[in-house]
Amino acid sequence: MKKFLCVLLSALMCVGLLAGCGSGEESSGDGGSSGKLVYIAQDMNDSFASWLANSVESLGTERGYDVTVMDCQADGAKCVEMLENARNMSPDAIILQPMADAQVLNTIEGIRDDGIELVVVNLPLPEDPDAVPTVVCDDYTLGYEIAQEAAENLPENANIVILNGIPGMSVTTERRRGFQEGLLDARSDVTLLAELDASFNKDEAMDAMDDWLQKFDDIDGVICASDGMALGAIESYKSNNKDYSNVQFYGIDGLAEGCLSIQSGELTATVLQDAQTMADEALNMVEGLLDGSITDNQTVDIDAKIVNSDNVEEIIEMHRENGLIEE
Amino acid sequence: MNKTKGMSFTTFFNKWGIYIILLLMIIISAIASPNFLTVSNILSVLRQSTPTIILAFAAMFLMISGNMDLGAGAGLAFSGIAALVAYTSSGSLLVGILFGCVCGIIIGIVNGVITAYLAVPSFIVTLATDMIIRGLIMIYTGGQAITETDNFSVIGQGYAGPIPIPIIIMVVLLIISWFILRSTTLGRKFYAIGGNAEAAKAACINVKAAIVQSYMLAGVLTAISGIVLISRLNSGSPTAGDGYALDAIASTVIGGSSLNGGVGTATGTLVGAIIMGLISNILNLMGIQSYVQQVVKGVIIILAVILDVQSKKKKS
Repeated sequence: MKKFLCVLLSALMCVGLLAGCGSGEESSGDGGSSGKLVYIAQDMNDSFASWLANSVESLGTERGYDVTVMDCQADGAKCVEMLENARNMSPDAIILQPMADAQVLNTIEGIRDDGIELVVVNLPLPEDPDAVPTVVCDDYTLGYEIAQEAAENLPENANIVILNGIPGMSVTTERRRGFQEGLLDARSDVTLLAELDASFNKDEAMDAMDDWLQKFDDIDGVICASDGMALGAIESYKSNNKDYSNVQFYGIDGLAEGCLSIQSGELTATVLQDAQTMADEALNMVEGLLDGSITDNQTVDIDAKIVNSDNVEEIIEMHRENGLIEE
Repeated sequence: MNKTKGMSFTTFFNKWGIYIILLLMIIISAIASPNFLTVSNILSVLRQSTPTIILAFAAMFLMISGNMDLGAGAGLAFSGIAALVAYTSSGSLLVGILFGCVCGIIIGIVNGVITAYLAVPSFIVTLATDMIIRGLIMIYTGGQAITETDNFSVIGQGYAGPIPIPIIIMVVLLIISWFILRSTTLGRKFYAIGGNAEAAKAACINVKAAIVQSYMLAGVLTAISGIVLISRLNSGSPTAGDGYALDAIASTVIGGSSLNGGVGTATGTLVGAIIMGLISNILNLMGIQSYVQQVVKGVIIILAVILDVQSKKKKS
């Protein structure tokens, strides 16, 4: 058995060496003419993060970049590690979707000292938002816009519940601030019955909604910090055989699944943070940094776009073109 | 005389303690929230807890035989998504369920063979297969949830009369698990190899084959858990089952299974999983946030393990 294991390990090491002679980690190009680009995703298990990563990869490849995608796997320490790995690859530029709890500023400064350009997307750098060029769709704006949509649609004296994301994260606190100012401060007649954090998870949202349905008979609106949680709330109504035709459900992100739910008349509205546009602007910023036309740490804000029954077909078509919805 | 009394209390607590704790929790919960002790809330808690309960039965068989599966969450998601895809492709719910179960069995065989025949500790094997399976899920789904589900939700959201279908599935699996452990040679083998693998070998039990069988059985249960969860969520979510493996192991330990193997019951495991589900339910009804729930669950797990270790010391 020991001999067998030794032979197996030796064979695996040989294969590994041969594979290591190849063009690098998850590379999608053949040494593009525009240069080498590394994209570091926050967590490829997250639907929005993987959409953004795929958008950067496909648009970057179209523009002639040799794109490598890395994944922090929602781990702050891994984020630092991925940055250092990317630095060792000597790319022309790095695009980073940072973690809310990762201390990466020192590493980023070292990378820029090496002459490697760096752009941050989706979330401003927690340590110093003005330290690097940034492309974001502001979380407060996302929360505010969808809350305003709810404020316009909810009936008088409506009772609502709120499902928040992971506690402590700026994504969660900023979106919640948007809910507060966009709906609760704007409509004093609306009553907040309860709120819980469901960590952006559909199943946790479903469980929370199940429990609320035991407690409250008269919920008019469910405001959620993500599409996934809103869809979980809807599934809870279905599995409890409760009539939800008069209940409004609101989410954030504008994911394909959310748009399909709007199309089928379940989710009332969501707000899109368009990963394609974000990726496009990030690549524009990379090109500006590389050709010298951008020299400062500017921030580009992507517009948040409300998606409801009036315009959902257009957004579904966009998701279809991006391969996120099958024909 | 004092030593006899101490041992009697320990024996009594080992046998009935978990049920007393459940009863106390029900009483406290009923006092804390008027919405708790209603038929619809109890059914809701059981339905929510069903995927964890079924996964806990899987963890129980493995723990009794001296092993564990830290990758059960990934296996659950993989099998559930596989079942969904097979159903939507074939139009047959039976084909979907069978395909999902076959996937679970294959994962179980891989884990079992490496653990038993290559003598790799099960926590390493299953950690590694967890990574592999999650990666495969991400490759297939591209990180996006599968939204085409047709009527798959009938398993996780349907009713047979007033009883949710997941609860019926759970009760059937409870009976089967209880029967396997109490009345079959296979069950006795699991206890024997978990209690003392060398002695089991000396008694002519094929220990390696039994370990593989325990993983295959756990694989089927994990698959069924995944099918129920994916069906309940009504989407093939690639992150489904995240964290469920530890919840299942915790449920099993709270229910009286020993981390050292050789001890455990189906009813105890059920009660342990219900206790975990009750904690979430009552804290949600009281509006207490998830971080506090984590602390409470963690404390209960530590207490359960301390009781388990202490009772082993007293026995020896």
